[in-house]
Amino acid sequence: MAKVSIQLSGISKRFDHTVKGEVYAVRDVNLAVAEGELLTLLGPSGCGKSTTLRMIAGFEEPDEGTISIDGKDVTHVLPNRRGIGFVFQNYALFPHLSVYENVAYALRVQGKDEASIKRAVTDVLGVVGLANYERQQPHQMSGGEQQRVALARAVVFQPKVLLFDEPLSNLDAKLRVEMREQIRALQKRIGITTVYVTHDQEEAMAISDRIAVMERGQIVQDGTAPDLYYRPNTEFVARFIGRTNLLDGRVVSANEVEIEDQRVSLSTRRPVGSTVRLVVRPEMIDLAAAGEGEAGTGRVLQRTFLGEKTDYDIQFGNTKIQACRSDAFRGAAFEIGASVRLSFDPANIHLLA
Amino acid sequence: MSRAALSWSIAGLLAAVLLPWYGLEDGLGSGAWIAGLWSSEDAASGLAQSIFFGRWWLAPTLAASLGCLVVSLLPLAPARRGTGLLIAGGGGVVLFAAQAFAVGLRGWNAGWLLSLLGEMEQRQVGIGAGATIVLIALLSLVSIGLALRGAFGGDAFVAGAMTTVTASILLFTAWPILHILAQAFQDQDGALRPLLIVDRLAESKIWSLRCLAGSGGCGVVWNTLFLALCCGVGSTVLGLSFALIATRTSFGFKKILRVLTVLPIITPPFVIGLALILLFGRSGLVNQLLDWSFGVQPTRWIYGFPGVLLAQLFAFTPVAFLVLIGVVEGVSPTLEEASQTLRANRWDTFVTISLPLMRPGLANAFLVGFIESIADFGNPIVLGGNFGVLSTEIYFAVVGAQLDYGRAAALALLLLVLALGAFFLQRRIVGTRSYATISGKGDSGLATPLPDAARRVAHWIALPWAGFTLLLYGFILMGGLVKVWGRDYTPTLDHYAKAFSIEFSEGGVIWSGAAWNSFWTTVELAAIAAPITAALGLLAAWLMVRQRFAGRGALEFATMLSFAVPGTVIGVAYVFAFNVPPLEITGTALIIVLCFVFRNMTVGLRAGVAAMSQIDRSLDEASATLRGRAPQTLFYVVMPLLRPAIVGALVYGFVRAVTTVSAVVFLVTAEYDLATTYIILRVINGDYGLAIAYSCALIVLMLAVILLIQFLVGDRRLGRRALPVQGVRA
Repeated sequence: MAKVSIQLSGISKRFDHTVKGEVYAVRDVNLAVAEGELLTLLGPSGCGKSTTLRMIAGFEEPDEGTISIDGKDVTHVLPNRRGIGFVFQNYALFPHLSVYENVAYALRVQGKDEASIKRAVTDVLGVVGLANYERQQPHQMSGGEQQRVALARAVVFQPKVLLFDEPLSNLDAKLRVEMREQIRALQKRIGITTVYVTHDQEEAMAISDRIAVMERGQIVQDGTAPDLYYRPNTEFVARFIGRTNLLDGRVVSANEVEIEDQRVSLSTRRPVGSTVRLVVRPEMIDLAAAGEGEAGTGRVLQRTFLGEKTDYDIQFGNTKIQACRSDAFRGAAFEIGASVRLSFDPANIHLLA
Repeated sequence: MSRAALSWSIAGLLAAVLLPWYGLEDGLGSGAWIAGLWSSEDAASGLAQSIFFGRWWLAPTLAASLGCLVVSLLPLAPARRGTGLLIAGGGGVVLFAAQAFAVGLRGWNAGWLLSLLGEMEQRQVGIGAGATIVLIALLSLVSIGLALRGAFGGDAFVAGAMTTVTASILLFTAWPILHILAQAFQDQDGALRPLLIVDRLAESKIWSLRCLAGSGGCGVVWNTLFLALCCGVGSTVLGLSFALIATRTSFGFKKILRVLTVLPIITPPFVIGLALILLFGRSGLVNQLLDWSFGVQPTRWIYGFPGVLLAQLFAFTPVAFLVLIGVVEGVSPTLEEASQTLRANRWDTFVTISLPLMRPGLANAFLVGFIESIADFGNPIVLGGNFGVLSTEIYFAVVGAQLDYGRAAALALLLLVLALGAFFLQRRIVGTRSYATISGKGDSGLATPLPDAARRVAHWIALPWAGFTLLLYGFILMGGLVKVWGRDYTPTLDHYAKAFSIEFSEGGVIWSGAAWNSFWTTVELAAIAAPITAALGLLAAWLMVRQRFAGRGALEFATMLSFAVPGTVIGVAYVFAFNVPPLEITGTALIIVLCFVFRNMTVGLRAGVAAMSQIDRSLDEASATLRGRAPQTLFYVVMPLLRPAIVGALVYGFVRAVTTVSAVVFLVTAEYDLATTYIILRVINGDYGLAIAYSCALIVLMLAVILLIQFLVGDRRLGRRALPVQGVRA
């Protein structure tokens, strides 16, 4: 692994809750972010991802544990001495300053000379595609433009670390995709270590080198997007990343598991006869027309046409299963009530611990 | 930070050597003290006092200052240096306070010191420039020490701001009020007699209930409470009527209603009382009319409870209106629409949804009226007659023939307890306003119009009242323009001429009018006080809203508490606390300025807190990540965004200083007389013409100030200040 840039060691943050008493917002989080890496903290609202990010930034102090940036312990260092760029969810552009002055702010308070400020600001505005916007006021700009000003402002003073707190959640869907590509491109170009917080798993998968999934103040799994998708550690991760069927299976032999009345070849060391939890993504199930009442078939309860594919809810024995199917190359969709044969893709079915 | 420590150490030591330690009779202006710095006992510096003039008790403080210098010079690690400064500086402050309170005008201040250490030859008077700067330097060094040890995020600026606010509140609010407590337990000679307070408070004049039996007046406490109760209920009903008309009807003159809310701000509190006298007094219009048409003998009913209540209702209804307009607007239209979709008609909706939602707001408005009423001094003194309330009773105990400071202190204590009780009740109610439905989410519903019955009632209550209010102001304007109200209605400018005449002679302009002296003093002192008021208030607001530190709750509590103290109590407290060393400033302009500042700090603080809560915290955080330090964030980000609040605090700091009566009535002297106290004395002496003319001039001046400022800053509002979406924190 490359050199570690951000190191969180056993950090915890407690809050006083009026009803529950003392609760952990973040509990014993350990995390290392390599230099130049983009790591995403992903999780639902209230999982502690923003609090973790704010502790890295220095807005909150951890109750336990230490934070270091580039090998220096910064746990008790004020935010303005940490050398971090921060992009806020609401952009936090100074409403009384022009775009130029917003971006110049960090250099101004450091007392840089006017000529070098001008050079740096012009450069960075060019990079984010906002050349000639210097004199605009933030409130005259669109959300996407404001976002880019915020980005320019966060990187202009060449911080060691860049932090994003749900930066795209105020943009519409299309702009979100465009902006995340821009952010990723810029991050790669300047090779800056980045921690990115989002609750949107698709965004996380699109942008990250690595994703750490958080639940109730703890990191439950971290890895690359395929890691998390194909090999989730827990039911929580399986449900949070992508759509999933969690099916109960019975081990019938060392390399066979039975789902309802269908056998799937899957090697496992679990004892024969025990029940196991299987993660089966909808696209890992293939559907084919079948006759009424045959073995290994289910019945279509509901279907949803989505354009590139069609989603099906299928009653399969005692369980309901989500499956999806592209109509390309295959012909007509199945009607509600039709009998379908299910076949599982054994290579990608994952067995939960 | 080390350089700051060095500078403050040197400044403190220089002040101890080069400036007179004690206050001088004629101040520092003449420069005559320079010659006596080492030779004259009055003007000697701290060092000279302790060496040549036998005031050995100053030496330890000076030694502590020297200790700070040593700590600043030694090559120490920051945390070590911080500890050193904390010990030396903190020790210095403690030693300073100890000697200041132990040795007074008559040697040892306390009996046990006298018996322990024997008779003391030397005395000391109030502190002067030297001692003040030494104290400020020591406090600054303590702040730097705290910051070096990592308190306040290691930020010396925050630590310094914190020390400034805390020390000034302790010194100029907490200390005088504690002094009142002490005074209430002392006899005329200053000896401690705890049982005395029982005598003082058990008086029948305070608690008598004879009025219930129909013979004679009730005690002042009952008077005060009953008046406050009526005033609270009355102003709430009136205020609610106005608020409903302004927000829930298609009434065409809403702008005029808004004007009503500005009036009490620019009007000295007793002016309404004056207007009522013009109308209902013995020689008032109504009585004359009755006398002329029906031969009814003029009565004096206006002097007493009815008059005071009427005046207070006029004066405080606009305040209730302001409170309630927010409450009524806070009721979410969506809820009312929901109620209507559930088949409730407008009246059901109003009674079952809107009114219950307003309940905490109504209680709050009631308590605001209640608190304003018990703190009011101007109206009872003008209209009260034999109907005494606590604030006037205190006044007469201090300035009247009784001259009984102990009684004044005991009464002040009583008033304080009442005010604080109501204040805490109000805080609790405001704290539970959780169903005021301002969610920040777009609430696009339309406010439901009032049901017809309710609208009619509101109209019938509010409109005559509004008309009457304007009428009263009309009378005030005219009252100054006739010869003798009630007898001779010849138009004249005599009263204005008497008050504001100017003569031009060879020597230049002579301000010969009777009012000029107090007028210029008022304007000057208010102008000095306003910027300090605003700065201190906003600084305190910034600390409370934006900084996290241990003891923040306590500071907030102390500041809030000082708002609740009635002006009369503060005035009496200042007189008691500051007419003896170590802070001997009674009779000076300084004490009036200080009183203005700490009475009105509330304005700056509230404006600041409100405005800062609107500025998203992420702007501060953005500045911090962009390497801005705390003071840079304050000056480059927070202050520019707060400009409307700053201007507001400045204006209201000024206006309130000009219009205040209750606190300063104890502090004025012949040399430093103020406009309001001058007018009050004219009224008490029955010289209405001049008083009314002067009041009009004040109202016009205040109006001009407010309009001018509105004109200057009104249009420069920023586009979007509060960024709309508050992130859901994960």
